[in-house]
Amino acid sequence: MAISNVAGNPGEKTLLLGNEAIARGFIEGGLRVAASYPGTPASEILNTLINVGDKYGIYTEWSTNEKVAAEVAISTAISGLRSMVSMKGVGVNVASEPFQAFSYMGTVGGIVLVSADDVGMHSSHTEQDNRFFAREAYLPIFEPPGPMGAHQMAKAALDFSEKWGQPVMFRTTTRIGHSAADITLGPVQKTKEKGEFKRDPNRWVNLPVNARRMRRELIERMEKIGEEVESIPFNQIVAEGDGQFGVISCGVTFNVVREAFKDLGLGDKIGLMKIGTPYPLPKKMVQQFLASNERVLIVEEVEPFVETQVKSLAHEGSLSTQILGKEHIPLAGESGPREVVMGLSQFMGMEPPNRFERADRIWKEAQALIPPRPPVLCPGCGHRTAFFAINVVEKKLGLKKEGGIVKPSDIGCYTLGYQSPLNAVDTNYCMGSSIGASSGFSHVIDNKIVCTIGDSTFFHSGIPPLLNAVYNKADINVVVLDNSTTAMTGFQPHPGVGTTATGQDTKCILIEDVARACGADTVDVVGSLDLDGLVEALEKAVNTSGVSVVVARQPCVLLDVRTRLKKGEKIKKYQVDQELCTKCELCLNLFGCPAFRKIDDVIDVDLALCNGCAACANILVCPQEAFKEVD
Amino acid sequence: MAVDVKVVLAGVGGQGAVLAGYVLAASAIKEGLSVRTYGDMGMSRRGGSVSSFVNIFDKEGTSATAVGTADLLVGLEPIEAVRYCKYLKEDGIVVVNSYLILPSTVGKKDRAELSEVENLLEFLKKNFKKTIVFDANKIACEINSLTTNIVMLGAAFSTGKIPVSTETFKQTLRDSFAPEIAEMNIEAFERGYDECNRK
Ligand SMILES: Cc1ncc(C[n+]2csc(CCOP(=O)(O)OP(=O)(O)O)c2C)c(N)n1
Repeated sequence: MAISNVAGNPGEKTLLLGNEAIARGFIEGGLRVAASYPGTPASEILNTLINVGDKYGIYTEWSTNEKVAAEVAISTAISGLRSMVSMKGVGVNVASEPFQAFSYMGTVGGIVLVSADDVGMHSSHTEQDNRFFAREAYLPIFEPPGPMGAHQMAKAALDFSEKWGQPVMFRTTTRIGHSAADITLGPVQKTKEKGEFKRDPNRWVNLPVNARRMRRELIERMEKIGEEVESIPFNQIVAEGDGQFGVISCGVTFNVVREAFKDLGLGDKIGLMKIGTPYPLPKKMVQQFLASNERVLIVEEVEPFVETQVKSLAHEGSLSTQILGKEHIPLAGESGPREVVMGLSQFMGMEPPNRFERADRIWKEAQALIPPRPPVLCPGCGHRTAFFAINVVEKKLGLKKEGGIVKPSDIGCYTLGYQSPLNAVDTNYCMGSSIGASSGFSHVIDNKIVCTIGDSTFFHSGIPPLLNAVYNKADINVVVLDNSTTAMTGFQPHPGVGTTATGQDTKCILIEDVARACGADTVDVVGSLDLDGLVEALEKAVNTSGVSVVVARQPCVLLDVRTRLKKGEKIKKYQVDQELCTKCELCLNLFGCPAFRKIDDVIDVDLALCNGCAACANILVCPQEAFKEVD
Repeated sequence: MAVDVKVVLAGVGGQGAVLAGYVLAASAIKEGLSVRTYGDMGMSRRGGSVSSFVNIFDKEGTSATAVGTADLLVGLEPIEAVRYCKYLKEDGIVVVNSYLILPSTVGKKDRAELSEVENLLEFLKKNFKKTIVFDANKIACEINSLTTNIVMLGAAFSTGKIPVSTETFKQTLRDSFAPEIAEMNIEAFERGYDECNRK
């Protein structure tokens, strides 16, 4: 019972999210292994495969990070079976190394690296265009126009990879992965259960002597692939036009361009070419299109990846077509209907439509009326109490005068400790950076340093920097915010949880054990909602030189409340005793639980939001102890 | 006549705007229509502003919604209704829950001024002739506080703008959720529908 039916029968029409459509495409393509590390906008691909993996004989795992996931998928492919490894765009930075080498070796079974680029940076810190990575690593790119195309292309990418013995990048974006459409399911190719590893050290061991030979073979292989993409249906001259203007569109912009043509009443005057493999480009087809149009606009999101290639193809073919792109289509952010209509009308020398004026006026007036609503830590979240305790210790030890504690942090829900009123996140570079950043600071500044890192992030990339801090004698304090899940991306398990992706019991690796094994000078474990205990442990840590680790542990409140309600437990709630409240607003101004509210000068708790963590009952949050349990 | 309807749902993370969008889209498929949706996921869910765009059509429709083109705005919360109303066309309809949720990041000095729901509703009414306001939270809390999204969809259906029959929608709820949850949501849907059908 569900809204979407990924595991439905061939011919069935169902609502699928782009990421579900990709997963279904892989299933139809006879996938055997799927590995991933969570990250928006990629997570739903593996989430989906986990749910239906049993039915189709697909092994799924959440690996500890993207690099490991890539290695897991590569070994499957080398054993002759089909695999995929999916990740958010920045995850490709982490997975880069094995793919660089594997590309030289080539593959036996089909293998697809899904790069879910976050164009628009809905939940990422870079807008990087991973097509450049693919180009550099010689990975052919498949880039779909939307959920329906993604469904077809995912299967085709597996077939293509196996046919040519080359790993393939499937580049999708947030707009595609998080769009849903009515999709008709196709037949499923059965996978074999067991693969076979054919020993061939000259190929699978990338010694320079082998790599030099394989690089030449790779270049030859890519030349043949370049021929092949001339005839695959994802690349196509869709409309010839009247020879004056033409558009080459790649990826998600294709449908937007078509709608813009209609919108501007361009009809069939304008030529249109669709690119599904931005690398390698179908060179002859592109040159043919250029030759038959005087001016061509390249429409693609983010970097001018297709554009620069098309320009060089024009040069090679001595074509005088005028080629434009980023002059009219934005470099930053998504190219939605508005951007494309504006860019296209500029390109055509038409008056841009003025119908956005009303919307712009409304938006300007609206902005003056409404506050921003950034994501925040949930009511009852243990991260909030941990950050609050760090702030309390900073004040208590009089460190504020000395420039305050420097608080590097990391990536996860807890990055939201950046928001007011906690303001307890000073730096964040990338996953796992908090501990390395702290080491760096400790050698050059006098401030005390307390960094925060989540449990999943600690396992992903926090262990080598912890070893580094101990080894290189840093003086830092590391608070591991252990909520026993990867919360931000939708509650995926990790090595500290005790269950696998498919819910099987497995060893639960304790962070305190890892920290001790890394040689940390002090290691303490405290409940994240135990404010007094946290303050005590943090004070001790800050006053101890060397590397101190405090594991602040409390299951993610969303999961915890959900399980407790299922078991029929009651969640106790807290309310303000108005007799005791002096309206000092410290609770709002220092702690800032989203369940607190102030309406008509009365401060109280929105009981629908309260998750009963009881932190507000602590005197550190309310000096009057006005928050009382409700019966 | 060709079907081509664009709906925007806007709310606060946790209110279920995205889920409601999916159920609506799935019900349209049941009627043989095509759909394209886009919903915010990931980071923005943690109490942030969340939107869901649902385009329903028979032959050709649009994949992404430009500002000034949507037919119906379903505001699960008034601040979010104001934030997303730029997507509505001039003669579009607003259905809005009057129950305000003030972001916890609002500083001390703005708290009082921003708590005025009337300012927000006035703004919507000024810009969109047909603006339907009611307290969906009150109705939802009588059933289950998690049903605000479906109460609001009931209200949205009452405008007659959605090209799906209420029966098909209720059947989609039955097909998508466990029986107790489906029944609870059907009640929420009917209550929202009846409340606004009179307006
Ligand atoms: C290289 C990379 N991979 C994945 C992500 C996506 N990501 C963002 S937050 C997060 C979860 C971190 O989980 P945890 O550290 O346990 O913190 P929580 O959200 O549970 O508080 C992940 C995986 C990322 N930003 N960068």
